[in-house]
Amino acid sequence: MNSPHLTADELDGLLDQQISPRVTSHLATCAECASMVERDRRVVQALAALPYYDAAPDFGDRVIRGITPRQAPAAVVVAERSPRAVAARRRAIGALVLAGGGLAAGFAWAATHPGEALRWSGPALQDSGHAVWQSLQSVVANATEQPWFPSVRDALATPVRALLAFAGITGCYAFALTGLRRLMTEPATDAGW
Amino acid sequence: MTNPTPVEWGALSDQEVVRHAARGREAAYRELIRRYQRPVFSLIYRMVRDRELAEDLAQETFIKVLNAIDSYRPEYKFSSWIFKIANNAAIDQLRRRALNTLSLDGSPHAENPDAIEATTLQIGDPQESQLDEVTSRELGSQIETAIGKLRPEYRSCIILRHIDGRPYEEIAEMLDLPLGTVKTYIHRARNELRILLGDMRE
Repeated sequence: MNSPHLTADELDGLLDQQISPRVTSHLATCAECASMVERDRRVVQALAALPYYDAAPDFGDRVIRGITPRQAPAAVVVAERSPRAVAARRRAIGALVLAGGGLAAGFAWAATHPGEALRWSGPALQDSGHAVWQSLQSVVANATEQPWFPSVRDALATPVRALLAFAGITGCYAFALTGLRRLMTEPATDAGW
Repeated sequence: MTNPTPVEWGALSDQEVVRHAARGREAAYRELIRRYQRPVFSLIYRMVRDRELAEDLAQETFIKVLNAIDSYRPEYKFSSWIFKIANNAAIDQLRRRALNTLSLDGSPHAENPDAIEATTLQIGDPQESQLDEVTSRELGSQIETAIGKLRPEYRSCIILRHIDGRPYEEIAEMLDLPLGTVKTYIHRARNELRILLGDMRE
């Protein structure tokens, strides 16, 4: 034997009439490969001659009957809240009313007793205002030192760009909020309650 | 599902027919069924070897495809999509019912001679001469028997490659297999068929 036997790729090539010089010379000297190629050809010819089969004559009608008619999208059904969710919602509203009421009472008292209010709140407001201002300054200083700051500044350089960026951020925020809301209103499973 | 303008369905590509089908036109559904009924049914029939079951699975395949026609992505061939669903249906069935043994002489579920006759694989073209029919039936029957003895994965690969004439790349896409694996399966399937047919003739 002069050369190694034919590879699977070479056999495939032969079936597609792609015959390389190596294949031709090998087949001339190797009876084993020549016989295998011949038997492979017979198998492939026999396979190619096999008929297609027909389904029953009413096949098409049965398929058509099985297709779901196209419908408009179903209306979104708002999930009914569970008793636990309703109670939590009531508690949250109660807490908000209490906090809001407290704040309103505080403002009302401060408006009617301005001297007293300033005496009590003045130093605290001064301290907290100073702290807020210092934090803001450090945040801005930190941001301006970042490598991405010039590109962000350039991107927002014109009012139109700034408006577009603002709209984009607002859109993302609204999208996230809607998604979160949807997650929160998914029907709760009552298993184990 | 009315047809406002006459359409030469035969002249349209699969993609164009699918676009009409996505608008709910019954004629487009029927055209897709006409184009793919025989190859899809034949693939499933050769896989499961049971006519009644093959009809059910082919029907299921078409219903699934036509109900989901909106989700068809035109960058892929429609034929790849439908064959993929048909092959999956057949493989699932074989796994469920362990039907991957040959029943060329009728369904294993057939309970009387009429049912056996009705579910027997029909080999040979009815228009051939009697002698041709006998030879063709003999060879066809032998090769159908041999195909039935292959592993299901080899079976779908060899049917798609050498009976349907699909290219290797399309078969790989249909069966979600790497191209090299498809080539190996087809090569092994041919080896097995060669051996099985040799045994049958001896």
